[in-house]
Amino acid sequence: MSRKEKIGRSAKGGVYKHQASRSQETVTTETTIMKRTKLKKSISCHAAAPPRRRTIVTTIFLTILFSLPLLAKAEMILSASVNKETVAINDTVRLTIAIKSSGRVNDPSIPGMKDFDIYSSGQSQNISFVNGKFSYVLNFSYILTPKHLGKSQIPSIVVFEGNKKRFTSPIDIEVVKPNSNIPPQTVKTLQASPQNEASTEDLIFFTAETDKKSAYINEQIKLSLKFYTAIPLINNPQYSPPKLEGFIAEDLPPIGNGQVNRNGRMYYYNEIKAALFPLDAGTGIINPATINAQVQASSPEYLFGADFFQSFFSGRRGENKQVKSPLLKIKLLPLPEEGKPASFNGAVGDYKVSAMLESTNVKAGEAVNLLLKISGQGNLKTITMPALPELSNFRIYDTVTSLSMNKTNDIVGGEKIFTTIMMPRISGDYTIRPIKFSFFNPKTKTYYEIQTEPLKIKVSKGKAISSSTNYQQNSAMPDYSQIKTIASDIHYILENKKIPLSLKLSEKIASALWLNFTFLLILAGALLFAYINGFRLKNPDLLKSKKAYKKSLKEMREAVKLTDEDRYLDAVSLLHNSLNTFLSAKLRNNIGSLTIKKTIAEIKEKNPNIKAQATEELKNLSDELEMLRFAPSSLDKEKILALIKKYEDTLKFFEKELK
Amino acid sequence: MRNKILISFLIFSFLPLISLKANEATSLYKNEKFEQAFEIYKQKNIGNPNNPYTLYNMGNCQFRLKNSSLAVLYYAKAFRLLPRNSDIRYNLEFAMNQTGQKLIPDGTPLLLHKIFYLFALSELKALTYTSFWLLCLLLVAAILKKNIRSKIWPPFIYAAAVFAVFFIWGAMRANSRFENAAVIMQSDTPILSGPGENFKTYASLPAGRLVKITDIPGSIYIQIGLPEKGLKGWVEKTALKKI
Repeated sequence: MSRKEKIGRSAKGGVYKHQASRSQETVTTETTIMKRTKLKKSISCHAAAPPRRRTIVTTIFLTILFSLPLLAKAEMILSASVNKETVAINDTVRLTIAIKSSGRVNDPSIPGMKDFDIYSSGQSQNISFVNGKFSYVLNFSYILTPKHLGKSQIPSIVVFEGNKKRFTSPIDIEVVKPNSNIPPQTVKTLQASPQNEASTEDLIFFTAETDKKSAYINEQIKLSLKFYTAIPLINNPQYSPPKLEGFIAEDLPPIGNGQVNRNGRMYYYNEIKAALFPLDAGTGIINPATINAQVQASSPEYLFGADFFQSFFSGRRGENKQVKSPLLKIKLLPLPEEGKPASFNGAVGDYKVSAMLESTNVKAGEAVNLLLKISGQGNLKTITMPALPELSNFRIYDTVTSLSMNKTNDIVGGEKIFTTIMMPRISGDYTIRPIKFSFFNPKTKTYYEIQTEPLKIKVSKGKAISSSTNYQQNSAMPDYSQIKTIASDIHYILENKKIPLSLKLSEKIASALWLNFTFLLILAGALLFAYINGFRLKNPDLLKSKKAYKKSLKEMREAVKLTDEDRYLDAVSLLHNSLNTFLSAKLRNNIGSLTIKKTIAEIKEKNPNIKAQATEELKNLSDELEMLRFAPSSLDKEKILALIKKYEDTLKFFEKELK
Repeated sequence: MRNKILISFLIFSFLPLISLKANEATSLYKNEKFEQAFEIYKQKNIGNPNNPYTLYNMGNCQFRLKNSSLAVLYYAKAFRLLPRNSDIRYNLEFAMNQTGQKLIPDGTPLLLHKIFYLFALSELKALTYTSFWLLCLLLVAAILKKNIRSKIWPPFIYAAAVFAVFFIWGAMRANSRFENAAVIMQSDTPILSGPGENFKTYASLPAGRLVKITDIPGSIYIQIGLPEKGLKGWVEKTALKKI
């Protein structure tokens, strides 16, 4: 069969399905939900639908696509399935949790699994409109890796729908050794690519375009994603929207579709549009959108055998195909600083502003609503309430905001109404000064400051008069005790707040526990120092006694120096004095006036266990020193050095004995 | 030194990026894209987990997403770090009220509660530490310099009093309901009388409930307590998140 004939068959199939689905109509982007309905209409069949009906269907599709949370609540259907019930220990199991609901549901709560390691592998969604009811199916996929051999179980998985809780049934999995004989299971395999005349890339592809390559912050950019196919699709394609970096998106319904001739080949296409609004200056990125589709694989049976319906009911052979749109980059420009009005608060587009009072004749203490309407083209969601002029005689309460958006000709716009509740305090005639509103128009690249007309209000005397008021000069004071709280809500986010320095500093100090120990050590050191110092002051002789030997050695070295300088008598005198000082310190008594005999007697008295050799050597040394002192002519260097050596040995021995 | 310069350069290079992300999160929040705003705040929180404002904003996102238990968790985390911030306090109280709890226990005067939570625990620790250091230094001076002991005595008494006050205050705060505490994440979480399925379930806890962790967690179960109710028991670790 030629390519042209194949396209003809596809169209024929599409027409058939559309005619047969008069009672039930389904619009979907994925296959799953379609299997549950007997007859259905796929995206690929839209081209065959009448234009008016097509528009209605696509409008509904996009309306529900972007307002899922608002859909009416209905019973949730939850199911869990696996692609295999027996798995080798080195293999994986794919777990799919399907949630069908028409209300907001939370993501499944995956419990800790003792038998498996679990990894998320993405999610997809389907939307359907059957017999006047909206519903959508969310499919969550997970990859499970078994931890051990034997019987394992995937426990119940919980999904919350509001406050309601649903559970899946546990699933038993048999984990076997690698290369075991695993029974045949329903594992889908991809078919080989059909040998078409043209490559599949030419027959099915996805494009992405924007209406501008650069835009200011908050300026609308129109994004158009077009999915083209020239070959029949077995199932409805699964669409994953592009991930946007630096933008927020607003959908632009309806989905466009139709037929187009490109390079001599007829294609069916579906177009999804969105309005993008840049968040910050820099480079905005529109990542590729993805469509997963199952296309007809070419085979001898298909090409020359039964017709489309035979293949439809007898089980078709398909090839999974994923197409991606190209990645787009947009230059995002900052808003110019020049000419920026003081009242500018980030509004970009083209707007008008008006204000009115719900009543211009009220009593003091009665509430009156001030309605401020901002309308025009632009991202109205980001527009905040302009500052009100000073209204000293009014008490201002909460502002309630209502937003009505339209997307005529793919341009986002509409009106936003700020309703401010005001309560006049004092009677009189008042004029509310104009309220200023500024915006930047990207077309003219100019800032505009517009304002409302002044509003007049007549306040007559109120019935309730508070006695505790400070405005006693006026009898029209309201009773403030009657003020009621209208609503309560959480406070707004805190923007660009810096962490208090005290907090930063305290965290650093609190983490320095070791510093406490350092201060304790310093304290302990001071105590020890004070103790030692006190002891020294109380026991000066003991300290001298302990230091005597070191001091004598020092003096001995001094004597060696004097000897080297040929000052022999000085050296001998120094040694003599040193010996006296040493003995005085050891005996804690001045021995300067004692003879050596008496000194030795005192040593023996204080140290009864001292060896006789020590006292003998001491006596010899003392005598020798005495002799040399008084016979200086016999002094020479060698003699002095020998004496110093003797002095050192004697003191060393003596020190040892006295210890 | 070179490393310090490099680190400083990197930090300053990323500052505009962090600011950009914060602005993006704000824009997303304004546009009611709470989940996306939360993801950005979450990323910011990974880089700086001790920023109370990021945690507060994360709590706001979760509150808007109608996830009260996570909102309580993030507000409580923010409150631990900066309890004197009126916005954090207000939103925590608001979220706790929504989950049937009270921030200020019955019978406690508001002023007393505010004073008790005037400082973060880290600030109380820092004040305790610094007063202790001052005390040590004064003692060292008094030990080493006898002639100034009479002059040191009054500041020593003052420092000792300050140390005692902050030490007791910090100890009380370390045992307050937000320290070593957790928030129940699953509704009707059963409290077991022992750490295992075979033990009796004798109570259940709603999502968002603040509990005290009373023991070192086991592998699957953790011992928790509700001092105000006199309850104590074990719950699965996955059923709660630590503040």
